[in-house]
Amino acid sequence: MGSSITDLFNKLFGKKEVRILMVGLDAAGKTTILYKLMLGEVVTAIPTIGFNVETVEYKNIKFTVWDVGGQDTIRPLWVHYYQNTDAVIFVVDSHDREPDRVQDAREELHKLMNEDQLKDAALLVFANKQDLPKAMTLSELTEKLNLNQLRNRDWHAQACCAKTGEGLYQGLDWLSNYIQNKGKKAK
Amino acid sequence: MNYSLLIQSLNNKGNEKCFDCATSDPNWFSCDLGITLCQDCAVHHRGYGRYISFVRSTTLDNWNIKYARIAVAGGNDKFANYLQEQQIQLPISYDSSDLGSILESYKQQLLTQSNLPEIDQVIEKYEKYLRTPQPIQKPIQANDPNQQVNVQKSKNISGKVPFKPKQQIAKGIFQEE
Repeated sequence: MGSSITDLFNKLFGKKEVRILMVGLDAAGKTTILYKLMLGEVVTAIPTIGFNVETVEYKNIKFTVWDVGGQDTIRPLWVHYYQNTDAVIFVVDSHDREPDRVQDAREELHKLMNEDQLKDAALLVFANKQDLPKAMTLSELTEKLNLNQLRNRDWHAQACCAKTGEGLYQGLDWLSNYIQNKGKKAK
Repeated sequence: MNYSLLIQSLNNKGNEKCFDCATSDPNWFSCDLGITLCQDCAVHHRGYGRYISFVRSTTLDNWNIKYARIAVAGGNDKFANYLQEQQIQLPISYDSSDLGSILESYKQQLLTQSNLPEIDQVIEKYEKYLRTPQPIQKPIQANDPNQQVNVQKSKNISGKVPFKPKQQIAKGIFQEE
């Protein structure tokens, strides 16, 4: 009885907590995005061997963001972070037009989306490094990553620049709207 | 394919030290400039953007034959010589616009050279000596399909010959030449 009243109180007034998994190819900018959101600063990120986890509060939602390394041989470790993930942030280096790298990103993304443990997770794609010359546009990237082929998935693609912070909060806006609406639907 | 030993073994090319700061045992590689880097300097290269310098870890990334060819064609000494010819002082600021075309022409030169048939010969020769895959620095997931693919891929260079220290491997290559 006591605990159910606490639950109700938390539901009405407490902060929502959301677990986010942030992945992407190496040097896409995942760690830079995480610390830009958390500290508002641009850090010089060393390659993540393992993970960083930080909590970012935005619009009364507590986002716990797990930023997992993207180097080739450590990508198989992503699987250990799938459980209880509410949303996946997939970060892409929009500046990297090399076909093999784009293909790599597309394959990793679709592999992720086919994971059973992530079937209810929302997907936010950050098209990062928009400040660099000849960066792929959002529509170009949507097409190259076959985002329109995703079925039964709430997804959103957002152009951004981790260095300036542009676009990052728009991405979180979409996520927080999604989470609020999901709560309403469930009721 | 993991070519980290390839890069380290070609140590008559100045590759045994980071190009930018001369730290020994660098384990990052700029796949278009053909130079080795320590982690601290690789971090800066990552920041310049992919088309100034594309860096891969020699221990954490999978390698393709394209990068291996660049490794054989290039080298720290070669790049340093090129810069000297162009009368550019070290250390260089890779992202300065003045340097853009100079770096670009070196990359093109290296790419052309990396496709020459003699490069294949070096790589073949090298593969004879590289029989042991790099030690795996992470837990293997028994039921992880990716891991199995990696193991299969590296089978052609892995065998029963025990590990040889890199100095010996280097000797092996160059003795034959």
